[in-house]
Amino acid sequence: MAAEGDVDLDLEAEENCTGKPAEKPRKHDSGAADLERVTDYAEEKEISSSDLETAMSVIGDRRSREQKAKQEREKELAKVTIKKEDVELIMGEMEISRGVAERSLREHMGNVVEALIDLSN
Amino acid sequence: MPTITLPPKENALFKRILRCYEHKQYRNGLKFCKQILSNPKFAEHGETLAMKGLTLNCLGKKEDAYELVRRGLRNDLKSHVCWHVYGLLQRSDKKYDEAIKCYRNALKWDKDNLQILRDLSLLQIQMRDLEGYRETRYQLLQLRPAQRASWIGYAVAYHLLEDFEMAAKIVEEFRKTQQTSPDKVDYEYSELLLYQNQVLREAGLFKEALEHLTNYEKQICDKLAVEETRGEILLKLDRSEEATEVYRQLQERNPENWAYYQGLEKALKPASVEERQKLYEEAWVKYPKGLVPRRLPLNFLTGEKFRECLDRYLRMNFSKGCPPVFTTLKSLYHDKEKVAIIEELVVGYETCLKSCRMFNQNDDGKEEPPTTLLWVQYFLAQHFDHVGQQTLALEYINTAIESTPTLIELFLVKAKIYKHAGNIKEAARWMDEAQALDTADRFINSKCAKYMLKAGLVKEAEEMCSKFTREGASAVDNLNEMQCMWFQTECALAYKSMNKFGDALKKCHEIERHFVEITDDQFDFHTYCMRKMTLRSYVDLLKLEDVLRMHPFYYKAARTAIQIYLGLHDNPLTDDSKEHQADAENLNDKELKKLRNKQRRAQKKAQLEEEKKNAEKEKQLKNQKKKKEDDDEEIGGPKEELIPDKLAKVENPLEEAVKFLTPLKNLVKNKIETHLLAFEIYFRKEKYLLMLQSVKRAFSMEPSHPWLHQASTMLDSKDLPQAVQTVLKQEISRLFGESNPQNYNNNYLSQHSNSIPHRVAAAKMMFYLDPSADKMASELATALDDCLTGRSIAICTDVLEALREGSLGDGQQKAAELYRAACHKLYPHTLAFMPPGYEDNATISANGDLSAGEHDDMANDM
Repeated sequence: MAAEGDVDLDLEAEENCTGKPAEKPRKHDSGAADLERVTDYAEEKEISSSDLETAMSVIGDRRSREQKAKQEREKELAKVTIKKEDVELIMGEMEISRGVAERSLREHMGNVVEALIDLSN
Repeated sequence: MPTITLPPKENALFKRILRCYEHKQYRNGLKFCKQILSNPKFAEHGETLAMKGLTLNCLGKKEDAYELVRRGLRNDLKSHVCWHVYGLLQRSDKKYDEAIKCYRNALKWDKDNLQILRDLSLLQIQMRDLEGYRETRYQLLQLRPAQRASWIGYAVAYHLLEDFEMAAKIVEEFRKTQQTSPDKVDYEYSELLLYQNQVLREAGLFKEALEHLTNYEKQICDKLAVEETRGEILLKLDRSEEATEVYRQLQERNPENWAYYQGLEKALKPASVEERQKLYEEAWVKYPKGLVPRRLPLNFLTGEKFRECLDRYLRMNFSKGCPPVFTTLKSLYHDKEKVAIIEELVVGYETCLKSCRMFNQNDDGKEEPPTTLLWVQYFLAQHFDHVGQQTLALEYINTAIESTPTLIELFLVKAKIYKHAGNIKEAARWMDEAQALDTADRFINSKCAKYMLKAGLVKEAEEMCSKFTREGASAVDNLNEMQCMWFQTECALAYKSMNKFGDALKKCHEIERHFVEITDDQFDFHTYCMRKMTLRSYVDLLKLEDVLRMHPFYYKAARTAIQIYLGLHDNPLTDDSKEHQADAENLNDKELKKLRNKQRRAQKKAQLEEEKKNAEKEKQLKNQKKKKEDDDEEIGGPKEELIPDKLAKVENPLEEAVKFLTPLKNLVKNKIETHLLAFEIYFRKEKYLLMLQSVKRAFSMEPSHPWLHQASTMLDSKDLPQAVQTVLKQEISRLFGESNPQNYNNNYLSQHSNSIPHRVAAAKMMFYLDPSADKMASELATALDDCLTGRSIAICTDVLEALREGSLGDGQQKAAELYRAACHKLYPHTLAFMPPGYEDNATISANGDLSAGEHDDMANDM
């Protein structure tokens, strides 16, 4: 919603008679709006593009590695077979969400007793 | 993209609406909305409707707002503006999860909308969805790499995810792009550098951190931070000589800072106690008036050296007339040897000062002023109170009061002594006396109010506080507004002990709301701190908010609430209170009718008063709202009022208890009490594995804790699912070895037969497992021989209550009376052991109007 940079204060439709009004009869504004405007200017400070490129590439590499590792882990866990009743049992006994219950069961290769022992630590 | 595009005239108006919203000119915004909507072609224009709704929300008309926004959304489901507005609405009502969903929908239609991404990132960090935050920040960085905040936000995201190396890299890349001139003072750049250094240190890259510090030292404004950080890093890198230099300089700067002495010790690595002491002796010479260099050696010295050092320290303080001397030494009192030395020394002072006005008869020099004796007696009163000799403590403090009856500190200590002795009513009286001496002192006023609350005098406490709270509002309301939690926790406890569960719960919930508010308050700082570059403080704030409910105030409120809910589960309140039932049974028809009429009239009166109060409140609210309308946004919806009656008659008290318990389980795992409370709740919910969890966690902290013993005995599995039974059996035998509860109890008893608290636990279990063993259990618990350890007012009160309420057997009233008398001999001041018929006649008026002498005699004779 922010209209950046545009500092137009022409609000009152009626107040457009003689060019520039001498003293706007505005009531005290908390000043927050002014503060917002000041900031927008500061943020527009340009950073030189060459620096940006090297920086972005450093970040880019890292990200792709992270994504890959995460995906592999997820794939491993998805392979484990689990029983619905076990998930429900865990949810009920330990009062946790389905997501957490499922994950715990998967991480213990579907063994409900071990999952419960681990959760009760 | 929105479905209907507006023609140029309406489009211009729409842009104006947006601007009006930003500049908070809501009435104008509404005017423009009307202009668009009055045109029949655009009467159902989704985005305009949404904006109108948003503007109305800022004016407080929530229901209309929601209606309009939903209508607008329905008309234009593909408009990112409508979704965005809906998200803003949800956010203003603190429904952060919903808001995030709305923003994500908005992003589906306008992937690269900066404002929506920014809003989404704010919500994500507020809800601590750190992975999501990092993703959003990455998108923002890609869209606007030229903006400072993009980089900083991305770095902070990694920092919070504890990937320090990555965060450091990003900050460095960003720093390189910043242009500052070295001779201008640039505070923001300075803060950025310090933040960068912090990240480097947290990453463990100490060498780099040191290099970084040295390179940019000149541009960092906070010179103290530079030196302290340098010292820290040098210690971590084991460069002791340089570290010593740094700490010596810091010591010059402030010789009263404990941390610098600790740093020096780490740097110099003294091999023996003598070398260690040398460090401080040097400081004595350099800083002759310094108190800290004299106090710190007391922590590690022993025997004669301790005595010498202590002598010097005490003399300095007593001559000067320093009231908190005892407080500074309290941490030494776990060491019995040191306690004995302190006692001998100070009692010696007192005798000598009385006879020859000097600390020691062998002293030569001038005499001490009379106030020195006063402070010595004051110290002794506190000392003997701390070691459990309340009667002796009272003697000393009374002597002091006789000589100086106008010193507030003396009465404060006297009240404390009575509190420790178990007579809170007397304590409250003396606090009142103290505050009457200086009614402009808010500290003593608050202390007095607190003691009154502990004594159950709620109205008096409120009156006492009202002397300092805002005019025109009730003291209790004002204190709630000011988040004065010490008052509210004590008030909750007071109500609880009076069985006014609804009122107590109201206080607990009010405290819970304060914590919610404090958590919500951080919202504005996410943008603000990035802007101002005060990143160190920002990250500290986030870390604080993460563990906010670790605070003792929350703990107290949660514990009180949980105990009440457990009680309400066991004994739910019915509509007619039990008293009324009992009365009704003894009356005949006519009298019964009269009673019922009276009750009905009283109820109606109460209702009318309640309605009147509510009407007043509404009127007040309306007036306040009118003032607020043109100013800032209303944050969150109007809060639902807390009504004591409703709170006490809640449908599912155990669920409510769990709400209070959950933060404790996450944040206060190190207190065994958390797990004991958890156990009680889960026992009633019959969740055996969660009971097991509590027992396991408590066991890992203190395997032989008395309460734990009771809990583990109750972990009996009945007809449970197979898996659960397996787990229970396996874990119980792993932890406790023995699976037969009675054998286990007997073993436990023989292991801990000398400790009273353990005996009591075993006794309670003995009765629980075998009701016929009540006599043996009772004998076991009520033994008070001197050779047994762990005897205290608390445990004795506990046993007395157990005898009276039947957890050591039924029909133990005679045994209870005998026990009470025995305890009374041991603890003459304690209210709980006073003989029946001991009435406290004097009431406390608001300004300490009592005959001090009379009461003293009565209390001391008993």
